[in-house]
Amino acid sequence: VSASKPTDSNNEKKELQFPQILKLDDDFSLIQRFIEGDETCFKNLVHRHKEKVRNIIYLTLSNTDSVDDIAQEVFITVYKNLKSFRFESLFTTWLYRITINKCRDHIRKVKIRGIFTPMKEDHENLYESQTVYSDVPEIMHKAIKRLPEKLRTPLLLKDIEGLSYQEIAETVQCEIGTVKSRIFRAREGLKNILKPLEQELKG
Amino acid sequence: MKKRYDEIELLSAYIDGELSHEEEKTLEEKIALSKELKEKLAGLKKLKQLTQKAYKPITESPYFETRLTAEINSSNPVFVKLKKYSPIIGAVFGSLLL
Repeated sequence: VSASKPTDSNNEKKELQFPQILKLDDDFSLIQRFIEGDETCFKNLVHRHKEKVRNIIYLTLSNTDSVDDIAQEVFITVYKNLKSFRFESLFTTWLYRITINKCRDHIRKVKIRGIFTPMKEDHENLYESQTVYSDVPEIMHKAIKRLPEKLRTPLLLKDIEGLSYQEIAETVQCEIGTVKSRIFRAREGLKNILKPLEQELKG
Repeated sequence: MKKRYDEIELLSAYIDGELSHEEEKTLEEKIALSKELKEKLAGLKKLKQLTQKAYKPITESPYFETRLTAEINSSNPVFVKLKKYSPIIGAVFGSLLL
């Protein structure tokens, strides 16, 4: 019995080749026109990429609370620095890197704030909690949320956003080998978290 | 033990379509001969599917761009200067109209 081929990115890459070139060209030409003084091009860039940015923030934080505030900060940073964009990498790589860094700043701020506020009795422990989870996506969401950010973000950028290991490495600023290892460790961690819930997941 | 760990790490990259053709071929040969690897592979595929279902896309934010434009304009030095001198500019325009 031979193992079935992965359905993921190889085939999709071939299909997406042409539109990706167009997209790349479009982003670059919009930036070029913005540098030359056409401010409306920035609006086009925002319109084109805002939902992806909002989604990455949502995935990184695993909640929707501050998504729009952080996304605003991301695009303000882009606006302020766009004129010095060097056209050495895809615009999206740069944009997603800013997004991840803003999310990490936010996580740091929340942690610091947490030191000065009383601990909440928040029993997020999936299997010790009395809550009955009938919804599989909900179980998964809570389980993923328990992973450390540095494992969770690469996993979600791969499995939900469909980024390649190369793109993830450029976004989170680490080596491809590290991305591979973190995604693997995230999956191992998830398996351990979900072990006591196997029955619910089968149902 | 280390070898097994490395193989499972490769399986994880395999389901992501991130192995070279050569690595893929070698791993597929190993999978064909190992019940344990087949089970691990099936488990990882299932986990990936479940992960993909865990997050629904968030709803669109209709005023996002309007708010962003306002934020940028309010921090734009030209706009700030214009705002500062707006009573004078207004008075000049008003007198011109009259």
